[in-house]
Amino acid sequence: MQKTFTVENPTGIHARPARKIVEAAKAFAGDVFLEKAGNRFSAKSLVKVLSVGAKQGDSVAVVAEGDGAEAAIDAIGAVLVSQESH
Amino acid sequence: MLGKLFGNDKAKAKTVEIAAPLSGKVVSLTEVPDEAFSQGFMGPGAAIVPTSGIVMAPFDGKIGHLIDTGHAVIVEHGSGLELLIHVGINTVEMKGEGFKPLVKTGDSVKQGQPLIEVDLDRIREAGYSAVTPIVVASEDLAEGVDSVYGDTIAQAAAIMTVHLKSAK
Repeated sequence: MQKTFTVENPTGIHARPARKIVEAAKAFAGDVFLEKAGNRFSAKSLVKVLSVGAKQGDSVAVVAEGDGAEAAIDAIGAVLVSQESH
Repeated sequence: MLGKLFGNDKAKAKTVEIAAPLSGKVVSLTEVPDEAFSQGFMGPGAAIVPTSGIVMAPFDGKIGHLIDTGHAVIVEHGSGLELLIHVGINTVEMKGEGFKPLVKTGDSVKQGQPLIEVDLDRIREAGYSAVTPIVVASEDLAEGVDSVYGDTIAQAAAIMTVHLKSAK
């Protein structure tokens, strides 16, 4: 299954949010991917998640299959739509 | 014969030495004013309070990713180890000002090669800490990291030693 989210963070998916996505993805046993503009990246690698280059306003699809896939997708989606505050 | 045995041992060495990417003072991650780093959430490693503004490659490798705002870079080692060098805290908000990348994603680099030119004064004037965490991004590969705290100069050998898991 997959769900699409819009990145809300003004600074996009940089190192810290990317790490949160990796942690959320690793909690899921199966493969999890991020897709942007037709390109697919593993959500379990910090390098790959940063390679998505997701900016505020971008649409990013989160793709996973199997037991627990929806929870994993929603956990990653929560990071994509969150705004950091310092 | 012996030489060959030792040679093999060396080839199997499961550590990666990290040369200092900056001059300054090596400190514990716990001193970094950002919980994501200080609590180890970003991966194991150490940090440098920099006194020089040229980020240098910590080993021979490849640029896994250069963040487009130029404040952070991931360098990949031949072993698969990925090292994140993140210059300053919350410096993503500077939107590239004060950071001049000298390489791009996918480039091969040699140890000591300049990667990013950083204007440390500008970071501090903008109100950010310039402390630079250096953490293992591919933490599944690493068993642990030994760090040598204290004053260092750019390219000083083995300010950190990453122990890789033997099963690969």
